[in-house]
Amino acid sequence: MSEWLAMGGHGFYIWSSYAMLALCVAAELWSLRRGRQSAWKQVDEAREELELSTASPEPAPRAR
Amino acid sequence: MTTGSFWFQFASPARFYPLAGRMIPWFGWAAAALALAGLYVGFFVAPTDWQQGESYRIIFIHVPAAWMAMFIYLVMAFWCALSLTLNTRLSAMMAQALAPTGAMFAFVSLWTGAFWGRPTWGAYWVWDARLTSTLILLFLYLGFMALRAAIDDPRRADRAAALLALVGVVNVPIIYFSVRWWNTLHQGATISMTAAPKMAETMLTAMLLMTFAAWAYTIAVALHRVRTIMLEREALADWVGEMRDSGDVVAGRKERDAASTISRATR
Repeated sequence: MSEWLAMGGHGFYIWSSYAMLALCVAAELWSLRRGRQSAWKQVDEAREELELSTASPEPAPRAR
Repeated sequence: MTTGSFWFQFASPARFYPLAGRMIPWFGWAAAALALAGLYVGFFVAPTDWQQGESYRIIFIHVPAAWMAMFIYLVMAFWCALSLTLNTRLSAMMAQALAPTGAMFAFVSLWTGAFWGRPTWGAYWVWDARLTSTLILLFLYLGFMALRAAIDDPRRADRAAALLALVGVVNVPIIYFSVRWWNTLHQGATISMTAAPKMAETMLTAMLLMTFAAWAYTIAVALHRVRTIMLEREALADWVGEMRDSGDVVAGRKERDAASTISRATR
């Protein structure tokens, strides 16, 4: 096993490459998830603001 | 209904959003399965290279990443051209959704190239035509995203970023042909349409499996990101409201959790 991991002396270069790819993919998937959650929050906020402004007696400016 | 109007109906975010949502798990799982198969063939079936030893196994991620970085740029420029000429909302959103993934692949191709160059050429980095033009590609992606982020009005941001992307497209053929036009340290094209493959068949299989995995991954991620962009940019549109309120506060909630399912599927 450790012989396989050593990759004939090139283990450091190979695993550094694959580890960076794994890290980038993980970071991208994590940021996608965060982005989706914050987008829904934005939708909620924008619409609540709109509902408040349409419910008030004075015509308030439309949100955004 | 003509073919034209058939395709145009998906140019509306309200139609495209649910369609994209149904496609994401398929591409996500395909990416995971192809990557596992590619890694298996790459590490357990493909033989040791007689010249480079084991270090060549970096090719299985280096070449797919470099191809995707160039190809995503072309697709992004295509969507930018459409958004400038037809002014369709969805085209600009697609370009915006592709840029981070293109930048990620450009970075990965540079990084893996550096770690392959060290044992092979004796240097992590040289100012060689191919390496330098790929670095410029990464900067173009970053510039595209930074320019978008710097302009508040989304429609103006779309136009400015689209122009930048279209000017930058000249760099893609420069990267591709750099190994022919200049005397470079970088080896020639790995795959050629006109010549027989120079590598063992199992090596080629592993590389192609990884390439298809990168394709499927890119499609899944770009679709996921474009849906987020749609929500942000159309927060007050009727279709978002309908999804959020009627019958589908639930769908909305599900949406919030769907992100985690996708990240599991594509991991």
